[in-house]
Amino acid sequence: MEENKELAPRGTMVLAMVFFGSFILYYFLNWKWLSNLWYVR
Amino acid sequence: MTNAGSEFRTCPTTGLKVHLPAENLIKANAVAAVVFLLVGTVMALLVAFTRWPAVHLLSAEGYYRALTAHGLNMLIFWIIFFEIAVLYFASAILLNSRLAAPKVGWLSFLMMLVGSLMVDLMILQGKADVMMTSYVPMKADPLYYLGVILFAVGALIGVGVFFATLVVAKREKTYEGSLPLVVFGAVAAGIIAVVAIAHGAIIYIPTFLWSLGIIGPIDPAMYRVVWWGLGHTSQQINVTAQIAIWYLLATLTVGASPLNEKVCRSAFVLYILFINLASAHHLLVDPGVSPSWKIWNTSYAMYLAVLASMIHGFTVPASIEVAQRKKGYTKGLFEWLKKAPWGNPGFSALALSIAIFGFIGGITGVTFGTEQINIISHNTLRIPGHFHATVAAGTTLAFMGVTYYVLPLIFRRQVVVPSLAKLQPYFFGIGILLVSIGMTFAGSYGISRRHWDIAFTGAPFQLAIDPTALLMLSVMGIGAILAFTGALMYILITVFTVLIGKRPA
Repeated sequence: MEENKELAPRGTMVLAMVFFGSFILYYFLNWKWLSNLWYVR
Repeated sequence: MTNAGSEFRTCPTTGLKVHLPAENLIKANAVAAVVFLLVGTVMALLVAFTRWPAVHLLSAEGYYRALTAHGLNMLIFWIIFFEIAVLYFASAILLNSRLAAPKVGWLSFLMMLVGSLMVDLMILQGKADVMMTSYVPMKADPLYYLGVILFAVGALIGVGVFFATLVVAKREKTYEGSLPLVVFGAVAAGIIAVVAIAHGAIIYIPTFLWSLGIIGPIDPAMYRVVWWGLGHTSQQINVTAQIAIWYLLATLTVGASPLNEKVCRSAFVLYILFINLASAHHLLVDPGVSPSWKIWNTSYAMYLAVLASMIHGFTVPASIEVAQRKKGYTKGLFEWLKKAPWGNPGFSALALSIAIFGFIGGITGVTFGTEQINIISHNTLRIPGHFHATVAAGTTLAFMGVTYYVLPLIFRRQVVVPSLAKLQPYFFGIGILLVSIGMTFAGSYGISRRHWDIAFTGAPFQLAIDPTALLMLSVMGIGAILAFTGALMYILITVFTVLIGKRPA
């Protein structure tokens, strides 16, 4: 059980979270840029 | 060691049974791939030095010619020749089988070679300055279209030989149980290739007849819809083959095995089902197709293909981490990564391929594939910024990495100048990363996707260019020099290994 815990890919999980964070940031920035160009009244 | 009285030899290192006719075909396709990579690489530098305003090297005519040649040699010839080699490797070598119909394989190779030479000749003679998309009503010489058709039919025949080899292997019981995951990935790439090439035939045959004056004009809107069934789907063959190679390289470099084969196989099936529909994202600002068609294909179907990429993007590094942890690298979160074999070009190419493909190519691709956001990114330099991260960094780096294993196994030569080979993926990977970042950010400032002169010199209006965009174009230019160096190192290493590399004892 202890050995299985040591083998769990925790580092990859952290990298995956960094990936999702980067994606959210870039996606948000693009909507922000779009909103600056395309006014909705 | 050649087995007496048979067409097989046994590799002394891997123990794999190598079918000699298959080996010869793999060699021919791999050598052709590297030659076309060289042509595409030279064109890449010319294109980059023209887009970089500080240099602005070529005339407008020369630029569009070089851009056409760059696109076709890199995205089609280099990659598809290599993929055919991968398909033969995945079927005949990994399944310990004989290759079905080697003579048909040679026919396929000759058709692809003649077709690609015709295309290049037409482009270099200035008879096909139509860029890779060759959107009608721009018209190229009929021999250009005939060359593309010959190449595509040749590739289709090659894919047919691959499927026939799978049948032979199954019938002759050369393997037990299900197909190995890498071969399963190659099957997915093969199926997607059939879909892509069918689209190519549907659009290029009438376009060829139109260029001869036999039939009337081609409807441009219809052309664009069908062409992207080829143009984008062919890039998905790359992604699928690249991911099959990721699994192979993870096994070869650190001894990793997939965490959950069923999940990985399901992800390949998602590619087969949905990735072709994602081609619609090229037409998100096209007035010829309806919003519901665009939204269904990109905001629903495309995300299922993206899900597949995210599954692979997680399972490959996770399997590497587990393999490293099993070796005792269990300290903290990242000891497994620190102690990874970074000096092995197979591993560094794999790691850079995953990181750049996922973080840059994946994130930008999903964002630009959103209909509303596409309106601000379409036809800007952000688009080549995205696909240089996916195809140039993701696919090409994976193919480069696996070459360092193919050279000893198939060509039976030890890699020359290993110290240079160690550095090669870093030069190419970091270079392409800079190219991609430079293009993406310059595009965010409105720099156009393909135009020869970003300043629109002589136009009746004055265009204000933000200095940051110029800085980013310089980043792109510096990246292009680094990537060119990395690609040249790869070409020289492979050529000299094949010509003068030591034969293993």
